[in-house]
Amino acid sequence: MTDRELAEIVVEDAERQTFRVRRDAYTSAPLHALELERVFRCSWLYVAHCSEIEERGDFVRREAAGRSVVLTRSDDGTVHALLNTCPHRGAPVCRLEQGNARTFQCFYHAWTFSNDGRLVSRPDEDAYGAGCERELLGLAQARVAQYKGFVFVDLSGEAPDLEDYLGDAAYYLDLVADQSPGGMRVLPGCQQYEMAANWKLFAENSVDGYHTVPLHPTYFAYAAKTGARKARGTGPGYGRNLGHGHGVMAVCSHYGRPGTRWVEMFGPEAKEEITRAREWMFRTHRHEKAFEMAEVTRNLWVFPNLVVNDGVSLTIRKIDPLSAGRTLVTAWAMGGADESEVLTRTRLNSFLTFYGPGGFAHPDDIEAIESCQRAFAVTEVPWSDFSRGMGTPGVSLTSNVDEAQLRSFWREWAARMQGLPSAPQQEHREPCDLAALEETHLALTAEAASR
Amino acid sequence: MNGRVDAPPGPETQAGRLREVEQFLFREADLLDAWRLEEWLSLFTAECRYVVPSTDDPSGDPERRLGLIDDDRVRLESRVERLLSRRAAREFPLSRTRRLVTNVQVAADHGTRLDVVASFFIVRFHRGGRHDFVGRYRHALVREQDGLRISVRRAELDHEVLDPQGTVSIIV
Repeated sequence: MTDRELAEIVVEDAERQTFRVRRDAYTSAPLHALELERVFRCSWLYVAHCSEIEERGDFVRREAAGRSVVLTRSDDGTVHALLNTCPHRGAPVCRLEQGNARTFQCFYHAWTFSNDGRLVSRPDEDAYGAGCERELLGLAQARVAQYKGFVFVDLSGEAPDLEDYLGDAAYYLDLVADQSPGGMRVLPGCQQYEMAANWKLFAENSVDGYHTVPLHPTYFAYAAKTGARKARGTGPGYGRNLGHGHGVMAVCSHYGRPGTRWVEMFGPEAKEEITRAREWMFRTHRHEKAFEMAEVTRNLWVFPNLVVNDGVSLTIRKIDPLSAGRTLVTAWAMGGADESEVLTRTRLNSFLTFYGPGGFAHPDDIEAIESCQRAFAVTEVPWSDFSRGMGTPGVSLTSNVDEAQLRSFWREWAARMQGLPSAPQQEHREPCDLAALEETHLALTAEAASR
Repeated sequence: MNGRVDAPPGPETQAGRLREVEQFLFREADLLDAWRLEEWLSLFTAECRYVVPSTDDPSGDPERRLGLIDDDRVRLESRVERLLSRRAAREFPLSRTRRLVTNVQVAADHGTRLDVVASFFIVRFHRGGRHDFVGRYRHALVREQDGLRISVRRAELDHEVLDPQGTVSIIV
């Protein structure tokens, strides 16, 4: 595929306020191979949360752009991203999902590596000459960095420093990471599910506020039954382009938030702890930050493989593209590190109402994007449209249902696929007016309560 | 939850009890395959639980580690409403399913409560595709005035990943 052809996949016309993407982007096997190389290999990929490898010797095995990577906390406490293939003949040295180990022994020829990647022993050491010294044959390692507990790897070694890479998305990770005095942790267990759709359809869906009302009526019906009051209309909320392909869709709702806002559905036993956690937030953080943490549902997209949803549950989703038409998602729940079992139970239970493969909303997301993928067989209709909200003056209190955050994603994708530097982006970059958001939210809350 | 103390005694022999349980599970499977979900709901006790642990640990307790489904009575009723509403996109039109329930055993007989295990193989056909769900049931049945009722219905999937099912949109 030529650079010119690549440049014609994402087509933006500011004057006519149109933004279109050629559907080959979702279906082409050559494009998929190219994006693994140009997007995934050269980006910071989310792999794990530091709470999953808390103790020295802890490890988890994860995929990153199709590579098996072992994240370890070595004996000196540092985190390593060991590429899981023996430098000898290729077998994986770690075949467990997680555990605690000082060493990893390859099951094929018994070469043994320390948890910081050094080759520490192998059978018949004397059989090797100077060119095969042990020091030369440790496990290859990926560049690894963490931001407030979120651990990322960069397979190319050439991505910008993680904080620069995250840019404005970092603040939205703060809104999650700073929710508890003892820090946050991944709760036990995960969901893993695969779908017959391109990973970019999943990415779009994650920060698309426009679909919520038409696609998820059965969730709203359930929520109403459990006593939740729905505000009229959508929002207030906002969609924001965070630059570098990152984006956020945020909305104030009246549903419960297990870490920050108690509702009847959570039961009386969780009330005091949630109330205390909320008070701590407002005492500790400046008001705007605490308000956004406590009251605003945020779906954050960190380019290219991380979704953090902070709504009726606090949820991490890691996205792995398997082929142009298949995607694997791994989802975890998060909570405060020092929380009670009662609050953990509340979080896990609330998670399952909306999110996950058995929830009241997410299965319909998957149906939607799998249906889109199948319908792309209609090549007579070659374009998808992302124009909603183009030409509006900026981030407004109804822009959560616009598509600026999706355009952010596609501009970055297009630049990276052409081998260009991260795209300069201006549209809908400014922060939302949080004072106005809060005022509108409070007014609607009062109105809902009086109904 | 225990059955009512005034519930009539069940079959007297072990073989009779097993046969009663098998027939109950087969009838349940038929109701699900026929999408007669409101009748199916009537097989449950007033306070009941429907649990599907996540595939990373089929023995997991969804109150302690993330599961897939953990319904109380209200959520189970809402799930049925959702599935029959024509507004659950994943199940509209409704998929066709066929369930094989085998290897039925009464693991423990506590009088009015029976712990039952069985194996299941469910095939779901939808939009030209076929997905299988394979696993083990671990139910708690209680004896009420007019027969057995489900107090806890637990379906442990054997799949390592929901690959390629993507969702658990049917009752498994």
